[in-house]
Amino acid sequence: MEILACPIDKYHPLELHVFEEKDEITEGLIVCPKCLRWYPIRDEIPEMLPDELRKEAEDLPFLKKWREKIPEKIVFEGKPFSLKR
Amino acid sequence: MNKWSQKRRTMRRYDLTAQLYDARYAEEQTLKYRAALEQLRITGDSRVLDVGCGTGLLFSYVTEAAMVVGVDLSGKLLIQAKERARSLRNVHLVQADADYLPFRDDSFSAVFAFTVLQNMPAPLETLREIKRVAEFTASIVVSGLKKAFALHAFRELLENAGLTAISLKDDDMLKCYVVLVFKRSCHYHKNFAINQA
Repeated sequence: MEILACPIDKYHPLELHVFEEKDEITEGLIVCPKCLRWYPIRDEIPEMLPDELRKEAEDLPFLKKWREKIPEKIVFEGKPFSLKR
Repeated sequence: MNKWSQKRRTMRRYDLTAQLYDARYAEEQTLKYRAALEQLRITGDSRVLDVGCGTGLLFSYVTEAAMVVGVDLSGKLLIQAKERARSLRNVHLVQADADYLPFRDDSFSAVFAFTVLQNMPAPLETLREIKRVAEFTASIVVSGLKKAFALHAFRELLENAGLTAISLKDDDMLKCYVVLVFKRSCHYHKNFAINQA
């Protein structure tokens, strides 16, 4: 985590939210507090792609699945996708 | 085709052919790794970035490093890389675009980018991004596919990115040039006194 930065604005440190953990974090979220972009960790792999390479159809269900554990600001204002209030 | 369509196409292509990757590329990649590792030394305090790591074929060649980070655009390739990394300590994987690396400046002491540039819409931007995440004294190895880049054009590309070529391998066995470059003139570099490029 200490070397990670937001791929878009290069801001660091980023926030880490852990949802499921075995030996590694299996599901979680990395958040850039500056631009409010959120990046999922799925199957142990952080997915830190630019907006244009993200898939809304895969990312929105992830946001819905973990919405109780995700800060409200990210759920409703996060980039590149967010849920409607 | 705009740059995002090209990247999405590259992503899809590697996702679809992920199962064939090792059969297709393992032998060729191994030759490149050997050519690269003849030119630099990975030690116990090395922090290695492998840009376009694919299925992680390089990982077993840099086991002495303190940390190895593999990035790739293809999630399917990374799933295979994860299996390969299970038996190795200290390998981390991130899905990322080589033009938008999710790392702080000066994070790595050695950066490898094998068979990446020919897939990128603007190789100069990619090289600049690689340079950003490399330490001032980092060793950077990039390969350039011969059928995609003429040698003089490839050298010019490296120069334009502000990278100093230290040594270049161009064996007939290799389908690409394997070039060791530094961010600054090798005069400033702590580990090397080679100047044969």
